[in-house]
Amino acid sequence: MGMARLYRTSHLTPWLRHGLVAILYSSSRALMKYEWFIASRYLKSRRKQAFISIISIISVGGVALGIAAVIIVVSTLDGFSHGLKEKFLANEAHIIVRSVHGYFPNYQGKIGQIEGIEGVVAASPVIISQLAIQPQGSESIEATIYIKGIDLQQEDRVTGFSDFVDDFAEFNQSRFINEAQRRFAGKETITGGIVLGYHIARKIGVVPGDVLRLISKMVQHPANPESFIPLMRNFVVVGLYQSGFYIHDNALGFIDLRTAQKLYQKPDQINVIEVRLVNAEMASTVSDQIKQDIRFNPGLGAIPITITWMESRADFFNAFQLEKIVTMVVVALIILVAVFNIASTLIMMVMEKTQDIGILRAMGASKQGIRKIFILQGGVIGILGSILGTVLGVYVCWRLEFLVGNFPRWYGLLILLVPVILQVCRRIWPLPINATGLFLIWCSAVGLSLYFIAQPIYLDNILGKNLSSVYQLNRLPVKISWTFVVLMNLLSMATCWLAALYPARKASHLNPVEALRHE
Amino acid sequence: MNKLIRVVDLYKSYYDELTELPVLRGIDLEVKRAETIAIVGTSGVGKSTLLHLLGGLDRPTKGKIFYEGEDIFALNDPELDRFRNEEIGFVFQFHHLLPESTALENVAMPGLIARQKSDVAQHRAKELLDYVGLGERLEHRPSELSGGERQRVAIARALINHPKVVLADEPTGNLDQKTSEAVHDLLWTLNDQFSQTFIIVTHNQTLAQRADRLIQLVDGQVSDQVDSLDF
Repeated sequence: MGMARLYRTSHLTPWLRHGLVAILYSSSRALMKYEWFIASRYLKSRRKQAFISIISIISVGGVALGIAAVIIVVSTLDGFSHGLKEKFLANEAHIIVRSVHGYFPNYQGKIGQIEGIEGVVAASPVIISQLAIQPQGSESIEATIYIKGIDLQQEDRVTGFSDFVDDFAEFNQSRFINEAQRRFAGKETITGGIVLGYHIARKIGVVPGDVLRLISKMVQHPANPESFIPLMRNFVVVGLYQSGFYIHDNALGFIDLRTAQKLYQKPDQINVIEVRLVNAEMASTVSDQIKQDIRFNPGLGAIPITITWMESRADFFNAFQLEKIVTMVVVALIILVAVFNIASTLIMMVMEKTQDIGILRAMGASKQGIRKIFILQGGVIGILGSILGTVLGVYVCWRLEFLVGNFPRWYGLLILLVPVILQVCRRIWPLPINATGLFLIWCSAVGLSLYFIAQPIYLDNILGKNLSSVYQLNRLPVKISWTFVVLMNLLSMATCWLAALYPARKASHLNPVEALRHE
Repeated sequence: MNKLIRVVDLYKSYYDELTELPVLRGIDLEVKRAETIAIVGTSGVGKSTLLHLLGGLDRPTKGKIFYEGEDIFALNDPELDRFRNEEIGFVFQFHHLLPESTALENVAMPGLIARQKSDVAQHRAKELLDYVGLGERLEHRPSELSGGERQRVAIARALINHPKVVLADEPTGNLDQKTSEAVHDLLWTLNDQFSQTFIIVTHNQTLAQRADRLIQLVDGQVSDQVDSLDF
């Protein structure tokens, strides 16, 4: 009864069998060894064994899905981390050079030296320090932020600073400064302009044109030596810095380098040199070269301290690496399930074909020959599944990366209905479609369906959250590592082969006389 | 050198955990070239076992079988496989054709196992199927053939590698009287035309009577060797 039903359902998949038959047929014709012949016969077997041919198709599908899943998941993870890396490498220094002594003079000479090192695009002098800020009109200190004193021209070549500030030309010449000066009418002085991080500005409620008080340090009260008064300077907000990285936009403010030197009373000194490289991957090599070439004042601590982007972003990359490994382990389990599926398929096949094995042995087939029949089947399932999965996975990845159109995803499901309806109609009316035609219709329907389902993933609406500003990526990038794809294919083919070993061994060790008697 | 097969003191027992079940207990037998021999005996007396041993499909507990003076059980497994492939043709009671393969493919199979080229094996298979009268049914599968046709396919398959001996295990045991006759006629025609040696296990009286020699197995031993004329 059960068998009869399975036989009937097998009518639903003639095109699938047809495809498999076409491939196996050509291969069995090319290599007409009897092992090939029998292996292909079993895989595409029909009639009473229709059940087995269905489970061999399912085995191929299992492997294919596993491989496709691995490729898609790892490619999107890789693409995401790669996209983020590109983003922050675009607006961060690749190497930061510091001195043990803090501030150091004669920096332009050292910058010239660093820029002479091969692989360095530009270096820029910076003063970084932490200051408290108090908006004018506010009663209290609202935040402490990192203030970077920068040379605009040099900084632009390293971090592309100006690209992230709208409507901005210079720190100390702006209509906002002029307006503030008019408002103060000589009662207070303005030290300069400040570009404030977008998020910190929102947090403390300032907009361009507002005045901020920067508290640089405490000095002793001239009248009362027991108390201290803060040294405050007025800065006018002349622009908002929006790099897209929250940690930057929530913690940074920028002022002119000369102003900073005056503010800290460190004329002609800086405490950081930022370096940009042609190739960010060369950071550690260049960093070693800097340590070798650059010397601060002689003696202890003359060798500079260098921090590469890999070191400062280690936590980020480690997290990504870990996530990738965990995901790969999970997805590898899918392949493992597929492999177990192959093993059970082949074990069933050995039981089903016991008599055939006896016949072949009686006709002179060797144990090795019998073993080969089943190993070949595992191999064919593995190879077909891997190729199919790779095609599927790469196609979906390509689609995710390929930016044309923006269709509703359910179109994809709609398209899948076409062949399903066709299948049903075909059972009712005699349509002029043969198995090959149906196979082609299914293939194109699945392809087209995936075209709609696997559209680029836009980050502006992920489960109702807008992540595009968080990551500064408007869609999920995909990056296929071909080495990984090839490696996964080899791995899955090898495991399929391993899965076939036990059933093959079992088949080859059957006693031919008993196998012949097997009903 | 007219002797093709010599069976010397052949024993075969099956073991079931602790108990020994002796089936053949000292068979001695000689078979001449181009001879047809019918092996008869009651069920379970070891006829099939003897046939399997003669075909090198199993190894005896004791004793030897010589083919043209060569002890086949002194061969290792791959050599014995090749011996079966090249020197022996099996015909079984339940035809034992490969259900997924066509008549042509079934007949060509021993040729493929012998590593013949596919077209060579198929050409020969076609000739044989023509010869047994199935030239029109090359592409039919066993399930699409009648019992007699299946058995003729099985006979063609047994012959494809020009074996010295054809071993048939109740070849017509499953067929009706009329079909059986036709298969018998075919066997005898083959014997006449190709001088093939036939060893046939059978319950069929008429078939047994047509054999050159009749061998009766009783209690795992050859009880009587009678001329078929005196049967």
